[in-house]
Amino acid sequence: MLRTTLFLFIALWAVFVVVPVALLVLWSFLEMKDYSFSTSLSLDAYAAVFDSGRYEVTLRTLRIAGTVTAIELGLALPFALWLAKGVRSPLLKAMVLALLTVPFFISLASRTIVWRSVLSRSGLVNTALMHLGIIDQPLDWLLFSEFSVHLGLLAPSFPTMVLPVFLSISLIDDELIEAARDLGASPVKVLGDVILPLALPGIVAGIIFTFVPLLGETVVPQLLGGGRVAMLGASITSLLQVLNYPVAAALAALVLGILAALFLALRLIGGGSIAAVFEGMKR
Amino acid sequence: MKAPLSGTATPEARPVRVRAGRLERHLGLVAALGGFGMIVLTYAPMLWLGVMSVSADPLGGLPGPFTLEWYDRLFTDRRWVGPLVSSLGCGVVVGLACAASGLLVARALPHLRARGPLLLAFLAPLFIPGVLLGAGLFLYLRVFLGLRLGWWSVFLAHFAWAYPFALLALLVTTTRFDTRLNDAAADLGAGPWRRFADIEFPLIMPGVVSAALFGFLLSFNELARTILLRGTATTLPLFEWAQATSHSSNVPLIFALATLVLLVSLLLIGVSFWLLFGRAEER
Amino acid sequence: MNGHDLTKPPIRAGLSRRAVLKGTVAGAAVLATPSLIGRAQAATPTVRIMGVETAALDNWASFEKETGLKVEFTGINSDPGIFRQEVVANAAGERIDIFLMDGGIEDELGAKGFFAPIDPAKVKGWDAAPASVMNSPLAQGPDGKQFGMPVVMNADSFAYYPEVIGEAEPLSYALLFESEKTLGKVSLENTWLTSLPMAATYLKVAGKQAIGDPSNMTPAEAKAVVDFLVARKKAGQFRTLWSTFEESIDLMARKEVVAINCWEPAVKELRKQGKDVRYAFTKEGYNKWMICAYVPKEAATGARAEIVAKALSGFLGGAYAAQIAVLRGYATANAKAGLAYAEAQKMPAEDIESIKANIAKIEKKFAAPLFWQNAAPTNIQAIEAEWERFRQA
Repeated sequence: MLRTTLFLFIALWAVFVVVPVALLVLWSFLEMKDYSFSTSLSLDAYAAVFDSGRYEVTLRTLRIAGTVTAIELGLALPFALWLAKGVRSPLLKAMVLALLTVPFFISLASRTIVWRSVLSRSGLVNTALMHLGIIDQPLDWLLFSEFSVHLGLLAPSFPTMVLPVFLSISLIDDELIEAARDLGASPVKVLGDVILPLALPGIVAGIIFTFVPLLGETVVPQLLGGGRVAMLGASITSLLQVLNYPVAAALAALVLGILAALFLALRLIGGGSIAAVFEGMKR
Repeated sequence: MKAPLSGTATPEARPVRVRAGRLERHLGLVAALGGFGMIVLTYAPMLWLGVMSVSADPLGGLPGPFTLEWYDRLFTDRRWVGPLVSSLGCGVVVGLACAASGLLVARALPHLRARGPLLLAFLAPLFIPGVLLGAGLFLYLRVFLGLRLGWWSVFLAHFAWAYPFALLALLVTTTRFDTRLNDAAADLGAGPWRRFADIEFPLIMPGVVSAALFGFLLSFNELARTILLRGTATTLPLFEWAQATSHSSNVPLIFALATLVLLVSLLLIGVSFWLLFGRAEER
Repeated sequence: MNGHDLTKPPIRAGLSRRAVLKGTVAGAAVLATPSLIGRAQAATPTVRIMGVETAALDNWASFEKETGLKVEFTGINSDPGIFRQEVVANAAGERIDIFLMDGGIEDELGAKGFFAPIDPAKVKGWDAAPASVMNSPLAQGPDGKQFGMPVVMNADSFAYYPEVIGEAEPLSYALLFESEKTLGKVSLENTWLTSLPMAATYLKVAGKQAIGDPSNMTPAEAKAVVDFLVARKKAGQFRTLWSTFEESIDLMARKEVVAINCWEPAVKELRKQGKDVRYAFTKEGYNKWMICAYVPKEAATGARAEIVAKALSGFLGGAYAAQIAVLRGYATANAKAGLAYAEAQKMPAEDIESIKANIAKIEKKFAAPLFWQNAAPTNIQAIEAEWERFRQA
């Protein structure tokens, strides 16, 4: 019974999700007019990606998403470790988890537009700095710059990193850590040989949860980028407005290709393959 | 959570706590500061949102003079209530579906031979930018298969988006589950249902809750994939999206409604986390 | 999994307190006579409208009273891609009686047979509206067929702070695109739909660039305009691009920018905050737009056609004109009907004043020559690609 349901679910997933995703890649090689695709293959869409500067948008998006993910990981890993193993009070733990969950409910646009009153020429920061005599002219780069986009992305991407890492660390048996200590392992060794390997599935999940949605993010670059920091999401939306599916699909294929290359590179260096992660999960 | 194997350790089992040295306490403090810094960075804009929601000029102005005008307008023009209820309903269905089907797959997947490719297939929608997955599903369901779109296709899009998150959260816990516990219970005469309900489920419960929560939260604010798959269905993000080009001020929606959602979700999530995790650990 | 059970039409009741009160009274009356409910529902036909929220009322009660129809409204935003997708690929005509969308789209969708031509004889009030508006190229297909009926319109320019600009109107679009006074303090709308034709109009009138029709440019013309914009962007002319109404207000209110090609209601909001901001009368002309009603071919015959005719008459009627003028400061094709309605209904004096001001403003601006905003230019993909190049620069 359970097995039949499982295979039925896998079949449904394949038909309704995997097939459309695979078709997206195929569409990038076709031409489209009035919702029917041509049967002849062409590389026009890829040429268009490079001609309109969308290629640079892709690279910039990967760079920004990568930077933000790295910062999140640096902050989230110690925090999750502290929260899972250092906090005694269940109340405090529940409170922090709740605080990390609630932001999902609030529309990102509402939360982001507020930064303008802080970072604009007449905003809080500039007013304070000028009042203190540190600057005489308002700083222009605080808003509508890569700086403001990074800043605006930081807070919204934090929970998606912390939650899975916290989950995996809190599942590590305290006795294992104690046993390692009793055998004379230094804190660094405990972290490196016991905690990190066991928390790896959560860390990988956190990186995926944070990095990948950042690739498609539209709200923050639009509200804080000021038309200077174009990212992939807006570029694709703009293409779909004029029904240019092949170029949009080509962009997606390009991103998939770059991600696959990164995975392969990680695998060559050792460790990053998805199967290895899976084995890591199994312990 | 209770440590799974602690009962076998000593006759008079007491919970083992990780001892912390001075260095670790200091590092813990730094880690906590980093995390709480991000929480402040998350909540400061929302606090500002709340203050501006009772200010006369929320756009471009400073706090004050204080007024309840925006709340008054919010409750006078109540067109947002229907979409809000729809979004909540849709979120609940997606959350439950994610938890149930996630459990089904996450329990079986580690033991299947094709687990690597299957996991990749389940994670695939994560790697496609949102608008494009919406467009791909639209072209496939509507143009290719000729189906009529409506709530079912909205559900499908939300489910395809949330499921990878839910599945990974569940896998983090199910791969940790020691199947020998089930064998032991079977030796003691417990049937499959008893084994699941009394042994397995309580241990993987945090994963199940996380999966349901991810499903609900990701559905509640989803816009990019919903736009093309809606038929005539309207969710709260869709309503706000349409309102954005109404050429009228949406200050009541952006400030007052966001503040109300914040307060209600803080209360609900706070209480339910306390019941789920806080008390469970005290026992 | 079938999600259909969730389907609940969005609640659109009780919008002003007065309406809530009226509704409560009516509701009580209906409750008192339950046998009437079934008949009442059968007697009131429903018109299903899908369209941009710009043309939507927040309360359809008086429109419903005037037309004898019940309104079911599905909002979309002004993205022409989504709209085309709904009509062409999603067969929205099967479940929608009237579309409200930015004019220009009929050149494509009308010609391809998705819209049915409208017969002016069947629409009350058509002859009372100025022929120049009703026959505008934004309502007619390329071959002069009447596919659209103008519903709401305005002529857009830009907002500015007079204290900074210090010039008398009419002003030039040079203030947006190349002026020392506004260097680094300009925001453009983040779409090729409005910003590119405005720049093209400026270049054309200033004699800097030969351009045929700013709202329907060739790829080469679009490229020349974008080359100019890129050079100005590199010179630091533009502080930012805006996308939402709230952003445009916010940018001006905190003087982050001093000139912006925004929608006119933003100026109304800013003046309410006590800011001295004006919406420019210009030398070169305006971005004239209209939201038109279109009838899907499926709704052009039988009982649906009658409902459609009644609803179209309603959009040219007084109740709609009066409400939309007060709500957004926009005029309908038959704006004078709104004035008559407002006076007959004894609406507040300030509302009547604003309706009069709207009529005067539209007459002045629509007399200017240039250009009609066009949501479906012939070379749309090339124009979009050029705009993307500007955003990348």
